[in-house]
Amino acid sequence: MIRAQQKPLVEIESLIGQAKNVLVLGCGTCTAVCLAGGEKEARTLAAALRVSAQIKGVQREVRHSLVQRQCEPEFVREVEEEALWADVIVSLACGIGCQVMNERYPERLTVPGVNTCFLGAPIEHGVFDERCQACGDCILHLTGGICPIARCAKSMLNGPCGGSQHGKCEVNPSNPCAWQLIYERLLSLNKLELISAILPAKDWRSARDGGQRRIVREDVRL
Amino acid sequence: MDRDCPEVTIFSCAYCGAVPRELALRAGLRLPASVHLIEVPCLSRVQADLILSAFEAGAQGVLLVGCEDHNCHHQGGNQRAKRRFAAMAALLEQVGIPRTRLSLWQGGLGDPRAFLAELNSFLAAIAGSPHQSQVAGGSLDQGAAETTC
Repeated sequence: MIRAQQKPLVEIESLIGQAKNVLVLGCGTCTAVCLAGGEKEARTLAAALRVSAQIKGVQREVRHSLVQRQCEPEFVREVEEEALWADVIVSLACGIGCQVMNERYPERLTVPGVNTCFLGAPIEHGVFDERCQACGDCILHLTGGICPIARCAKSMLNGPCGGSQHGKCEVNPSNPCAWQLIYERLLSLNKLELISAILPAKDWRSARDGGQRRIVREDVRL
Repeated sequence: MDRDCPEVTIFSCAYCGAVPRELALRAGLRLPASVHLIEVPCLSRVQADLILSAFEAGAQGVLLVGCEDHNCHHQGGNQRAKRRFAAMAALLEQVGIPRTRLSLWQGGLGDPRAFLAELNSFLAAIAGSPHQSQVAGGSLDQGAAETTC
């Protein structure tokens, strides 16, 4: 899922500016799961903004609400009344949700309340690790289910680079070397021949290098 | 209402946190009317939203009362509460509430004195003048605790 982190309160307040009516809008999907922007976080941020305004003597009404999936226009339609009440909407969804809100309610400014960080998985409660860079050309079947694009600091396709020590990455020793993990995984699967095969240079046009991407499913278009 | 006593909300664990408070009350202590006590099943339930709600409702301070280290009624709820306490205090500072307005006390069972001492020093810290905030000046042994707040 998409992983995000809430912005510092002072930054959120600067984004709100002088707005009198503020809606903090959580998202019930990815950012709720990573504890950055669900219902509880929206409620907490709204309360923090209210108390802060009270202390600073700023006249401001802050409400909070939740959309189950802020990245889908059908879902954000549900909060029309609250969205139009607000001068500024603070989106606690990922950057997608924030943009969908701006597209659906162009007369209102929706500002980001979180920094969208990466696509990842929880490795323990409260700890999330990156797992995917959405490069558009998945090769997990060749690398024992471990992504070298997202998990190797150099995104090497034919690793290891030789710089790792004791199974740790030389760029960031708190991370395991992705190619060490791939080697161990392929060994346990008895498929070590895969690590010897040379992978050709990656065509990055399916990733970000070709600009904004689009998927069209003609079979389901209306 | 004790006019000089600051408004304080206490979130107290229903197990270890409640016992010393209960003993203190049995000994004749009357908590100031400005001290609001809310019992929760486990202190780890108390998160930033609840604490901010208390401040929003007018509290000048929030005291968290839970089990001692390694003596949680559940399984480490007190440790979680401790970790969250640091994050909550940091959030309060961002909001503009001094860290001293939030306190965590992890007391032992059957220790009403320590509970009262903590409450007194917390009230004193908030009020800024110790003489206004003594909630238990009497002797617990004699059951004659009195409220001077």
